[in-house]
Amino acid sequence: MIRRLFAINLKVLLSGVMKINSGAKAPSTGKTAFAAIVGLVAAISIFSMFYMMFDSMCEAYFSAGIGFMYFSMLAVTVFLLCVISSVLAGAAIVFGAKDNDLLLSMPIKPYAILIGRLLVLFTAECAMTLLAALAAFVPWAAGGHATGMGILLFIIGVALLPLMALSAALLLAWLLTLVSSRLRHRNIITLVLSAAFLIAYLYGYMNIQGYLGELVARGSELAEAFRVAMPPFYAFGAGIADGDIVDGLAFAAWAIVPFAAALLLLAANYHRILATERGSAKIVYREKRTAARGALPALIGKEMGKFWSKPTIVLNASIGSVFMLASPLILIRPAGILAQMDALATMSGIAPAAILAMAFAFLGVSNNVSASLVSLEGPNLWIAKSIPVPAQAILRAKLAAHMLLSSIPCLFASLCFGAALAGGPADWLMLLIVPQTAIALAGVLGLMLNLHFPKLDWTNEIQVVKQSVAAMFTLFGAWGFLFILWALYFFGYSAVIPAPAYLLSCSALFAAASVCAYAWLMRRGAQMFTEL
Amino acid sequence: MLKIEGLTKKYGGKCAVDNLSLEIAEGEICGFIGHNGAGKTTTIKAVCGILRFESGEIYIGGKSVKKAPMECKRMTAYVPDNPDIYDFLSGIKYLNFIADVYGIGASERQQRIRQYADMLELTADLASPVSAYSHGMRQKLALMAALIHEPRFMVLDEPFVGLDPKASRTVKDIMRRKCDDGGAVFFSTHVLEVAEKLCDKVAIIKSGRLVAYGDMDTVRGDSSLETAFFELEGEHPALEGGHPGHGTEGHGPEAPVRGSKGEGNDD
Repeated sequence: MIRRLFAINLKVLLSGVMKINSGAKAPSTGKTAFAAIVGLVAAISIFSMFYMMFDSMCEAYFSAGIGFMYFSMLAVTVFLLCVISSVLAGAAIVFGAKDNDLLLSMPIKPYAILIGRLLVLFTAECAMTLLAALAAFVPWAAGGHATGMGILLFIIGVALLPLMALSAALLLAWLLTLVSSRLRHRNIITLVLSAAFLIAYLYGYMNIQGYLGELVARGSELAEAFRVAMPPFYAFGAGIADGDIVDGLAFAAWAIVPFAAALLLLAANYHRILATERGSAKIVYREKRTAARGALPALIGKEMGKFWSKPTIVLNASIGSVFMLASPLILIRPAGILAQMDALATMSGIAPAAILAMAFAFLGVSNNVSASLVSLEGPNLWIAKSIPVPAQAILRAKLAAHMLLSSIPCLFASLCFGAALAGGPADWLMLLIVPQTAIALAGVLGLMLNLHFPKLDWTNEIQVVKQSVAAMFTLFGAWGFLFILWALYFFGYSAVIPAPAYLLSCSALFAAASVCAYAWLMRRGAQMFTEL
Repeated sequence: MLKIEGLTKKYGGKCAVDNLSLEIAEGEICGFIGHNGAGKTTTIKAVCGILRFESGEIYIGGKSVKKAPMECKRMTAYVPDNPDIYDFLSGIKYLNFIADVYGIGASERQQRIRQYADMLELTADLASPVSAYSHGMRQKLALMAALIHEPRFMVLDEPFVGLDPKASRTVKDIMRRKCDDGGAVFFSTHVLEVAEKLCDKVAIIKSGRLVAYGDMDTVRGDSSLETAFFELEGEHPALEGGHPGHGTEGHGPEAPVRGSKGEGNDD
């Protein structure tokens, strides 16, 4: 039964990427190839990011005699990434799936339902772990530091690492579900807590090189402190780097025992957790006069309502906005950050405003709100199709929601940093125009992709806002496109073209492409929507 | 009010509705009955402009659903069989959303919401999120939303499922009143007794084809609608001895089947 449930859940996860509906015909070869390319680009991007990080650390740690730290870093990185990516997914898949009631009504043991769902999360975590582990393995093996026992413990450790992350993610997901079900403004609180956690993690992660530099300088003294403070990560690192079987076994215990305890605890209480209807207090209706709105504002309001209804949607689809809204916090001590930016500008030869414009464009296209708005109609699609509103207006409303959710935070960040930099008109132009045009292009492309790859029979929103091909390709496609343009400038054109001219030319390109894509949306896109 | 001419809808190779024609005049309630999967919901969705169809034409108030879909939708109210409503909105917000889309003024909508919420006993729950609604409450909310723009033509897919007896009665009264005011109602149901008592006309569909259509009295003949239905379906052993005619020639446009048993094009 567990195997069957796992297979069903995995099928749901994978169909979330490609198929329109469970009963729909199989995707065409072209679409399958397209999805495969998206997956490959995503995997290569993630692997490259990890490889650059580990390659820069490997020799430094091993030559300083603290090779364990290299693998401890791998463990910490994978653990945090897996926990962050699994908490909301865990809350949605394990505790909040729409088919929980259906499964509980069947003669299936609750622990089988639980394990079936956990295996899906575990599989997703394994994929992430594998990419990071491979990226860490290559410099280690190429540097001649690997031993036979080390490789064996590396394989075992990497296989067990997702278990440890899964235990922590499960615990947090359970707490999140428990706490949020008892609060009135549960979405806002969950959102704020999740965003704060994410920002704190990234802040810590961005500063980790500094801590590690200190660690290398102070060597064994801090290594001992690390061993005491973070024993599972130390055991993981020491086991592999030194080929120490005792540390390897210690790590295995750290991974297996908490997971087994979490599993037993949850399995014993799973039925009760799912079956407990906490509900919220009844809200008494009092008639109030409501101002009438036009159809378009009403549609935009509806799109915004859907977007804000679940923290899962907000955090996955508009993570860029979260960071752009939080970014001016670093200006609380402007001297430090401005000095750093000046140093970076001197080193690269590119003006701080240009660097910021590029960064905000990156953050802006990290929002793929529009890439899931068609799919999110799901079972409510009949409403959009039965009201006397043309499909063009519905698509316009979706686009407007994307722009509002992305442009305003970006404008806020641009204004804050623009004021801090106190630059000239060219600086302001770059800060205000470049990110906004990039956001517009990502918005129309996301909507186009969602019309090509709609997924209307999702069981939780995460399947469309995070795992669908439209969401993934919009994100990685936009990142890749910007990366190429910015890299061309950094490594090629910066010597011959001033940054404002290059970036504003890019903006003109984004704007022209957006206009073309918008025209397509209003004709062919509207037709595709009516045929859904 | 409604005129369907040779409607055909295919899903891949499967013909869900095959050359279906019928007509409903102003002031008429027409019941649409048939087995699960017979093509009722497909027909209804095509009428409401939700589903595109390969061939045929549908006119509402003289306007083509293909050529003037917005005008047709403005005249029509649709309540689906499974009213999945935006569960992130409260009942009142959903009603205001629909009212905004249909361009209903603030005072008019307020008066209509008050009237229908009282009739369907949903007033106290209007501020609650739709996610907290039972199936019946969602059904009532969908009905209220369908009525808020005072449509001339109502299309209801299984409207009585999930409703309590009082609400069912209220819905029947609303349907009758709509017709008395010059509108028309087209609804599907599996409750043949309800169809028999409520409808002026009845259409029976089997495997995508209309097998009987006409005035209620003509279709059921001397027996009940249930007896006539099972005989047409060929499933009632007690009816093998035959039955009076079902349907009347001359009702509606060139409907393929309006005659008695044996004329059905699925036989």
